[in-house]
Amino acid sequence: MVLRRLVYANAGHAPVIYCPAGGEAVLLEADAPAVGILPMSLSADHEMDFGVGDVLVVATDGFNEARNGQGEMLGYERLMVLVEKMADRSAEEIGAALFEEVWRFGNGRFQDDDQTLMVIKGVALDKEDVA
Amino acid sequence: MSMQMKEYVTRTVVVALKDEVVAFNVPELRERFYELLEEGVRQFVVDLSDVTFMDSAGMGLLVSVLKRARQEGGDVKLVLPRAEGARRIFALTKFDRVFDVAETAETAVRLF
Repeated sequence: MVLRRLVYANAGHAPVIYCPAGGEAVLLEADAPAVGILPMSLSADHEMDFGVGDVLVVATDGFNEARNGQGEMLGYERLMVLVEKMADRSAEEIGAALFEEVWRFGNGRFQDDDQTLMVIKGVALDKEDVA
Repeated sequence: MSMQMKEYVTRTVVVALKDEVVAFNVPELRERFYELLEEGVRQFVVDLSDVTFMDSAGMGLLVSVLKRARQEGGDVKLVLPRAEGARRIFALTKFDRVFDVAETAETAVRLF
């Protein structure tokens, strides 16, 4: 049985971009500081629908904090617009587009921080597998 | 009749940072903070009013100073940046749950 539910906890990580199929991208923000700072984690589990075509982009802050020659940062808003635009493509294509955008925006400026990315996309299964 | 007095003076140091606190300048800043810890300073107010941006290395610096200060019975209070972008980083990382924060150094000193 396929539930198509996403359970996540964000402990101090950069906001995660969630784009529902055909909808607008939103940020899933942390609800607690990073693990290891306090003696115990204050982060809680969150549960949400994650259907066919939904996209989740987990990127390190090396993406949103990437700068161009004028020192301007790429920012979450540009990344969200790009994810919305690419949402009907595969996870691999979305990832490639994000790397391309950060490279294009930087326009030759040196990279300040690591850029690590994970793109998750809901895909259709055989009918009999779906609840 | 006799009266005995003992006086304990606790030092609080206000460290004001400016511009950007990023991986590039964090090693030098860490060294300065650790020197202060070696000198016996346990109570820090880190005034970030004029900080325009902090990356994860900058946030890590604050945590390392906080941990060392607390190990010695001290603490670190923060004055939040005025710049909206830098302020947002504290909200996104939930650092306002880790540190006591204030709007001015004078207020922050009174948090001890």
